Amino acid sequence: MPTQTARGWSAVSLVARVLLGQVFVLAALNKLVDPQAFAASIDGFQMTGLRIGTNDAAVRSMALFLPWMELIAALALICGFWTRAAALAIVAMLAAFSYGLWSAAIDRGLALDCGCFGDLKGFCRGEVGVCNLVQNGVLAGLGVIALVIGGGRASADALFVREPASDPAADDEIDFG
Amino acid sequence: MRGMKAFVVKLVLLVALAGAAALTHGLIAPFRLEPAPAERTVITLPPPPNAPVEGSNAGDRTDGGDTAEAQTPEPATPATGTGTGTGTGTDAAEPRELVLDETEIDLETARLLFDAGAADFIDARIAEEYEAGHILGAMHITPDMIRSGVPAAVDFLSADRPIVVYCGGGDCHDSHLVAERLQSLFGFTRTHVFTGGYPEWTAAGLPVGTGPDPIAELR
Repeated sequence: MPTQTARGWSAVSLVARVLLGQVFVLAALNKLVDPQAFAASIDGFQMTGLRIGTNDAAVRSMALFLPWMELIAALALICGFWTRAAALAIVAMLAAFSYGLWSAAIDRGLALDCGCFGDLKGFCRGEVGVCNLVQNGVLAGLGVIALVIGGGRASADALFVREPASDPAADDEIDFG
Repeated sequence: MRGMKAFVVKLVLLVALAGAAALTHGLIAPFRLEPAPAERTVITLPPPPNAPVEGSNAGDRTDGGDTAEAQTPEPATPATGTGTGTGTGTDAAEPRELVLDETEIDLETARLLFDAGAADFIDARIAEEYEAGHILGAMHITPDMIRSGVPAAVDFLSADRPIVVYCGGGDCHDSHLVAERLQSLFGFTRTHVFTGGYPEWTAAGLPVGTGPDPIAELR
């Protein structure tokens, strides 16, 4: 029988995974339907090696790879499949996006469109700024929860884990991947 | 240790899967970052004024050099820049033809189109820059505006008339993106990019306007 604590952590993980996952699915789909617009957003950050006109191949690759990475990691997270790996991928992407936002909008003072959610504006309106960093921080927090707790019982990972029936205490220690 | 190895393998597989999906996507549905070659357009320019250029209708131009050269009624050479074919006409008093056969145009061609009122100008820079100063009469369409829907200015464009998109010159690429979008989304095949952009226009002392675009506020 799962303990109360294990059920609680599983529920926390489930909420965090679904919240974060659906945000990323939405963001990814909006970028995938218009990769050219996302390429323009990437170009707007004026990062060395990612400029349209000089590094078209790199910009194209990023404009397709990032949304697909977001979509695959988000779906894995929602399903609780390879939960920790998916959560780490999403947290790493959020960290990279946040660095890009900070570098472009705050450090270099560029007025730019985030492109974070394709043509959706997310929680932050107007130009990129501190709001976007806070938004990313909240999302990364959800990712860290999933990373630390793992998939919990309501996850695909749990289906592949055989629980040791003889040790009730193991409920709290099971690694769900 | 084994758990860590399995974790890394899962992470690498997720990345590889995303890479494969992106590669497939790119092969099945490639997308353009540059506008397609613009449709060839031949424009008949009005005869150049007989009077010297200093007295022309060029507004508040401050730099006479570039302008004076362009306005001088030299026959058969109305423009020499990129995107411009050859002019025809043997007399200064005869109408001349301007052939637009390349997507990117230079200052000289942009100026000729402007003076003749033969093209619609689109400013692709952000609102603050547009309001601070833009080519006189230019409408405002940015990549972000197109991303958010159909910009109001699109209703005022014509497929039969050349469109000149510009931005901040230099490494600014928004003009190319807007031009591509105008071509692919709205079918304006006569869309050109003025590569010198607003800095080159102002450096030549050509007419500018300020303030927000009234058309952009319609939608």
